[in-house]
Parts: sequence; structure tokens; C-alpha cells
Amino acid sequence: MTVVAVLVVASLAAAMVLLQGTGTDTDDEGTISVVDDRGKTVNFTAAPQRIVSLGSSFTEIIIALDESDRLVGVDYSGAALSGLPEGVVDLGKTSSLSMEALIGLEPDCVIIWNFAMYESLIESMEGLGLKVVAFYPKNVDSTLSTMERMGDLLGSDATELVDGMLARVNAVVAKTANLTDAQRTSVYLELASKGGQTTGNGTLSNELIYLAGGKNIFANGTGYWLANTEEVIMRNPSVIVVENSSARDLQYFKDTYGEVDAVVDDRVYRIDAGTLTTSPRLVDALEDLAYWLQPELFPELAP
Amino acid sequence: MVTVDVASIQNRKYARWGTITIGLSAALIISIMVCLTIGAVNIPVEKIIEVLSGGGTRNERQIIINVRLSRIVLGALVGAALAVAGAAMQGVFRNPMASPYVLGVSSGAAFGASIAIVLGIGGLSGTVSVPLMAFVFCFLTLFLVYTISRTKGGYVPVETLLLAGIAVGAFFTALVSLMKYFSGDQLTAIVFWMMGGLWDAKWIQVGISLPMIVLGTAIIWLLSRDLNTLMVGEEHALHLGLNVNQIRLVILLAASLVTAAAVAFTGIIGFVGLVIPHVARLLVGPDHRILIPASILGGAIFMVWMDTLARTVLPMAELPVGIITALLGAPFFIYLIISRRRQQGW
Repeated sequence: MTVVAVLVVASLAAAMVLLQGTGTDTDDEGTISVVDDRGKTVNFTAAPQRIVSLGSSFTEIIIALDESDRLVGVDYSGAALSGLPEGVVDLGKTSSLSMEALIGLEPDCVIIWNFAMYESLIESMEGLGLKVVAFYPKNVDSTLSTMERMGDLLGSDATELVDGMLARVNAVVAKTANLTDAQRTSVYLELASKGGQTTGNGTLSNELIYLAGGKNIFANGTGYWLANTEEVIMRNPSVIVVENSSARDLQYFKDTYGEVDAVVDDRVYRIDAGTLTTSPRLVDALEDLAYWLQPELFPELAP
Repeated sequence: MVTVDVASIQNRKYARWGTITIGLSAALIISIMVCLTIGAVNIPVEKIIEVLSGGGTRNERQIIINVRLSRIVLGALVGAALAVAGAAMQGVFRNPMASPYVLGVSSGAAFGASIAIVLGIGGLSGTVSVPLMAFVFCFLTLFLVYTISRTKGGYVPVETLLLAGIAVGAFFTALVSLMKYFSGDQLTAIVFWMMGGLWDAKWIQVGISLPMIVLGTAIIWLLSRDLNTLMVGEEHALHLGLNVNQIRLVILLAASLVTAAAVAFTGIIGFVGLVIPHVARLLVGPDHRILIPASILGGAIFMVWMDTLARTVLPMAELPVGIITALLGAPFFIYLIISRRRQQGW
């Protein structure tokens, strides 16, 4: 009897150990290892060939690295990008992602934004055995770092792309880094894609304005908010920047803010909304802003 | 024998009403003057008077006349419109919980605005298409609700109107959610519009909404006596010679006109139409001949102060005024319910 009992317990224990073992992959010897923005190291035995990219920034980086043929699925924001190959499935909005649709694509890697609200989604995905890499680029530096790591992930060399971008960024910063506060052009930025809100410090747009030799009139705030009309008039911006999707033009700003410098000097500019993101195109935004804000310093950037 | 001189009682009543109206009008003008001084920069009253009489620097004129005064005047108009529409709805439905939005027009207007924002339908520029679509859909909603409730004989029972309002409102709310889902970049714009705010106020909006609000308000005020008669109940009102169906339709149309004119330019500002008539009733009594003017002026004063709060409570930013009216209105409404409960000994 005791022998039977010992055998049963031993086999149960062995079964538990074996079943445990298949759940984790910490023992895998990966040739590719990436540390994402959660601080988690994700290992791959080979460069992923079936990638689902849930973020237009990431999709743009993949396209820029010329690896878009490895994409099998994107989210709604990536589906609108040019350069996307045929047959890539649009999975809609990440917050209402269908797990069935995702698994049906048989991805070997899912790239997603490391937002707090995606935490449970990421957990579910990993629970289903998917490899998830979560990035959260917020400014120029973290965007370049994300690009490097995605290059590592894809087994593709991102150095050329990153160096090219860095060179363009540094070319602008070299001339603007030493500008005094008085030399910087004051800017009011209005984002139609955020319902007309302006931005404060801690955002990419604010950083780009600073690097381009300007100063955001609302740099003393944080995040995004609807600017108070009187405050804009009082801060008297020399330049107003809106996205090219905005319906507001010079006449609108004249009606709303009256004779602020930007209206009087006809310095209302429209920026391509797709460039004000944490993607390789942020250098385009930087160069556009540099020319508008400091035209004497950057004659070579004239369109 | 004690004689009751009815005429002198009535004259005293009319005199009291006159005083109330003049008092509230004075309070409105004072509120406007005081709120003109408040803002991102506090401007002293003497400067305000100087600017209003034609002087002042260009920047001061821009801030005081184009930014603040246009916003304050629009706020007063919208507050008056919503309050009088609320009083009219409460009278027609004989229900203290009625508001201008009781027939679902707020959801309809929100749907109109959202398709204008997302699809660009209805006009060349957003500044035209959004108010236009919101206005059109207000009336479309009213038309739908009315048609659903109408019986064969042309009679429109009040209970059916309310139920139809709930149903049509729920339908449009679902459509708005659908628009929000597919809106992409425009989601924030839709959400902000629905919160209700005066940050985009311009004189042209005042110019367009003023005739409609004046017309609707005048119609409702002229029908004050009939609103009084409706209070005794439909059958009694019919026996007193009132064409209940027709009067109800006219009042609903007028109330919807002023609501649509307000909502088109400012989004869905809640609680003004619900709470102000109640406050007015507490102060001046339920006779619509004084209740309507009191609601109009009270609504205007209320909105002027609420919007001043909306543009000053957050530094450098705008808080949608609909949030403030709801935050203040709901607790006040709870207070009204509780005090009424005590009054009636429940």
C-alpha cells in the first residue's frame, strides 16, 4: 500500500514539474534578446517573421527599416500608412482588439505600446503564449532607442537609419542649443487631433519646439489642455502652428485672438500631423519647425 | 362686513412682479459688469467703462469686447434660453424633472454634431457645419418623437411623448457611441463638444442665435397664462376652453427652438434648464407670468457666473462649463429634493 502511495505522489510531483516547465521560456537559449520598456527581457530563437504591430510609430519604424514584408497585422492607426504591403490585416483599435483575430494571424511577435491600460491585454496575450514587446517612446531620445531595439529585434541593422536621423537632429540643435530665451521664437501650438488642445512640457511636441529654437508659450503647463483664449492673447505668440488636418486658418485666429504677432506677421503654419509623433518622421517635424521658427538660421531648410 | 378688494391685491402682486423683474435685470447688468473685470488679467471697472464707450488700447478692446463680452453675452443668452425652455417643459409635462432635453433632443444634437465633426457633412468649414447639423438634428428628434406619439385623431398624450423621448434619445446616444468608435483623431473633439462650453464664443454666434432665442422666449412668455391653465390638468384645461393639443405643440416647438439655438453653439450644457426654474419657483411662485421672466433672467445670471468660473478656475485652461453646471446643479437638486421631502413631512 505504502509503495503504491509513494509511486502516486511521485508521479504527481513529476507531472507538476513537467507541466510547469512548458509554461515559461526562461530556459530558452535565444539568439535575439530585447529589453522592452517594461524592463522585461524577451527572447527569440530567431528573428520574428510574422509581426503584429499595434502602433503607427512602430509600423513606421518597421517600414523605414525595410522589413515591412514581415508584417502580418497592424492596428487602425498603422493601416492608414503608405508603404504597407498587401495582405496586412487591420486589427482595428487596440483597446477593442479581438484575441481570435490576433491568434488567427499566428504571430511570433506582437509589438504594442506600454500603456497602463494595456496591461491586462498584454497579460492575456502572454498567457496565450504570444511573445509581446512593449515600447513607450516619449521624446527624441527614447524614439531613437526604440528604433535601435526594434532593429535588434528584427535582426536588421538600424544603425544607419538612427545615425542618419541623429545627424539631422544634431544639425538643427547645433544652431539652436545656445539661443537665449529672448532669441527664441514664441509659439502657440494647437492640435486638432486632440480636440484643439495645446501641449505643455513633457510632450514630444514641446521638446521639438525647443530643439527647433522656439519656446512654447505654454511650456509651464504639463500634458494637454484646452488653452484659455485670454491667456493666448496675453502671451502674444509670434508663431502659431496647427496640424494640416485643422479647419482653422489665419482668419479664424484673427477673429479669435485679434492682432497677436503671429496674425499680424502672417506666421500661421500647418504641420503634417503624421510627423508630430515618436517615429522616424519626427526629424521632418523638427526641420519644418526650425525653418518656421528661425528662418535666418536655417535658409537651407526652406521648402 | 369685510370686503376683500381683489383689485388692490392683484395690483400689489403686479407691483411685486415688476420689482422682481427690475431687480433681476439690474442683477444681470451688474453681473455682466463684474464678470467683465474677471479673467486671465483682472481689469478694473473704470477701464471696462472706458473701453465700452469707445476708448482703450487695441489689445484691451480685443480682450474685453471680442473675447469677454461676446462670451458673456452668449452665455447670458444660452442660460436664458435653457432656463425658459426648462420652465416651459416643466409646465407642459407638469413634471418637475423635465428639462429642455427631456425629449431626447440633446442626443439628437450630439449625433448631428458628431457626424459634422467626423464626416464633415453639412458645410464647408467646421465652424458652420457643426452648429448647423446640431440645430437640424434637434428638430429632427422633436419631429420623430412627436410623430411616434401622435394618435390617429391628432392627439398627443404627454406620457407617450416622454416615453418616445427616452427611446429616441437612447437610439441617438447609441449612434453617437458608434460615431465615437469610428472617429479616430476626432474623438476628443466630439467629447469636448458634448461637455458643453463657451470657449469658442463669437459675436456672429450671438447674432445668429439672438433672433431665434428672442422669438422662442417671446412665444413662451405670451403663452404664460395658458401654461398656468395647463397646470390644473388636461381635462380641466380643455373644459376651460384651452386647445390643449395645439398649445402644447406650440410651446414644445418654441422650447425646442431656443434649446436648438443654444445647443448648436455651445454643446450640451446640462442642469440649467432643470434647476433654474425650480429656484425661480421657490423665489417667486409658480405663476408662469412671473416664473418665465424670472427664469429667463435667473438663467442668464447663472450662466454668466458659471462661465466666469469655467474660464478662471484652471490656470491657463478652459474647463467646459457643462461640467461645472452639472457639478453644482446635481447637489443643489439633491438639496431641493430633500428639503421638499421635509416640507411635505415625508
